[in-house]
Amino acid sequence: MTRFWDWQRIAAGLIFAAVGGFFVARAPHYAMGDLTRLGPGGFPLLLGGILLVLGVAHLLTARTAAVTAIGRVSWRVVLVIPLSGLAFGLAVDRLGLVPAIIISTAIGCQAVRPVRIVETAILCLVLAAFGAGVFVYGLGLPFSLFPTGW
Amino acid sequence: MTDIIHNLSVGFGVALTPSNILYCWIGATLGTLVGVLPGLGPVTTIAMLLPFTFKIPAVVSLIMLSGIYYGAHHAAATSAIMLNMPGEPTSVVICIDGHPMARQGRAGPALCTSAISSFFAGCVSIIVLALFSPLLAEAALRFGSAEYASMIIMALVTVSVISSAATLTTISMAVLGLVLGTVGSDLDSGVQRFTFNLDNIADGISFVALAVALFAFASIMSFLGTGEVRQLISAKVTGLFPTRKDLAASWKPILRGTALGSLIGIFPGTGPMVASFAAYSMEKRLAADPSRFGNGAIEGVAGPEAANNASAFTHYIPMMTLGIPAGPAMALMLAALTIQGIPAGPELITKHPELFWGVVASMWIGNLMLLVLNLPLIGIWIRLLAVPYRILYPVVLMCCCVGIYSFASSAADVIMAAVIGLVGLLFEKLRCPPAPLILGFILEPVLEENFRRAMLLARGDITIFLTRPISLGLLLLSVGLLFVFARRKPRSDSLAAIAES
Repeated sequence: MTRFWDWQRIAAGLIFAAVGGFFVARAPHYAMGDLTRLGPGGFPLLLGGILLVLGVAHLLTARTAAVTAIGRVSWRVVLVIPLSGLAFGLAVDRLGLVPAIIISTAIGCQAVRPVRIVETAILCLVLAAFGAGVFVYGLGLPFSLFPTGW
Repeated sequence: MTDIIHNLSVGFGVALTPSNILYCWIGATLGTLVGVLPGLGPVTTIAMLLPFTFKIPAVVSLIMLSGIYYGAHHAAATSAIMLNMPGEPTSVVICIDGHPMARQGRAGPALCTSAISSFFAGCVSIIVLALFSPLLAEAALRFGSAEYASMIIMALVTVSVISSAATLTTISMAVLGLVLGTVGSDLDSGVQRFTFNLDNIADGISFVALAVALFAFASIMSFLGTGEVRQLISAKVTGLFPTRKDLAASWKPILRGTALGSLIGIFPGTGPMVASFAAYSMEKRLAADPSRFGNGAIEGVAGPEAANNASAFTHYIPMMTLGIPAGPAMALMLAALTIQGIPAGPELITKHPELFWGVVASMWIGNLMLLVLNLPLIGIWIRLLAVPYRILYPVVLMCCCVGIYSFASSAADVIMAAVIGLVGLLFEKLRCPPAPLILGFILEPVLEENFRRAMLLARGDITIFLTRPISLGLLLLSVGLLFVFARRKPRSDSLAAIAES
């Protein structure tokens, strides 16, 4: 029977092993204590060790009879959605809530094709008004709506 | 008995104040909305609203979030029946027989049966919740640290084995959640662990940011990435009420489903999908003619829908009395309590009776509201199925960003959530489900605290977990679960291969 490498399993195993290994390597920086009185480093060392072993177990069992397709990855979506959150995070302190919502929504809408300019513009404005109305006036959250100095 | 009546009167006193009725209604309506709309589920919605809830009192926040939760469970059958597309994962089973019924022109009876099943199962399982929680809390008060730690391990094993992904992978995700949970200041010594002087993780990775990243950002990306396959609503709803024959066929499955679902929901870690799948296979096995299943058998709607809703309510028992959530939605509820400074656990009911009984009473009220929302108003929800996802996700995105930012006034948390969302999508592509991770993450402080205390009491003798009978029993149960499921569950990749061939 032909057997294949299951690359998804290998990648997952590498991630688990890397994170586990990192915690194992780093845990001794904190007091370990003994078994009776575990220090702050003790439990993370134990957990990291288990994760490292589980990660390696993934690598050892990565031969499989059938491979699965990873499914379609839309790079546009993968790029646009985090970028939208990133833009909000960068803009909100500097520019205020309304510009942050408009910028992040304008970016976020680009995840879907075809690009609908009018619909995007309407969504930006409605969401900015909604955000300001509900969160600042309704819930009374202490955000500045616009760049200071306006 | 008089106790129960007294407690319930306290509860209804809380739940029947005008503002709490309003929040219950908001929750139930919002829940129905997100339950109906494919691509937007209760977990996403609760994650999205979680950061805002610490501005309102604990009982109000839990009444509203619960409304979203059970409202969505109730309504998810609608899109399963009408579109062959589950409003949320728990109603996958409803598609199997509900949608064929709709194609045969029997959408009305299918919707009505599912609403009646949900209502009945809800009413009964809330009674189970009210009767059983105080008992379990009393038993749990006698638990020592060793038992508590073993119980958490069992919950993590349970949530891992029931997932459709490979058990080795889901266990690893649970451990990864535990590992990430250790980041931040150590409870005992206050030492900053793994924080590398980064301000925004000094108190640990923000649960709100992690939950929003995994259950909102990542799920939006995943839903957009798969492409919107939306079938037109071909079925017309004519005649809502089931025939006498339908009722005769469904009352027994409803009773069985309610009993099964209530029972399953009590076990920590069982998550939302087990009950409906178990009920479906039970009905199929009990049926005189199993071949009708898949072609619009009404028992295939009534039983699983009852079980699904019954377990939705009894899931509150382990969450409130033990502090151990059954799945991601309950983990978020637990976080909503923690945010308010209320630790869930055996003492919750006695220390905050107005919270516990108020929420229980509000569930009854909410359940009644749902019957009205789902039966006479069903037409409105069906029309809402036509709202395109491209309008919905920017709204969710915006609320998530504002929510994370407002929670700790930290723009860095928003950026962190955007990055974790990418990691979440990567995990999905690698067939690593997020549910065990979020449970591990939220349970880590409790597990570590109890593990360390147990070791201290046993003077470093690790066999304490095996010599105390309850602890040993829980661990043996976990090993048994691992053994049974690891052997019975084919690796998901081979499953997919079978499906494709």
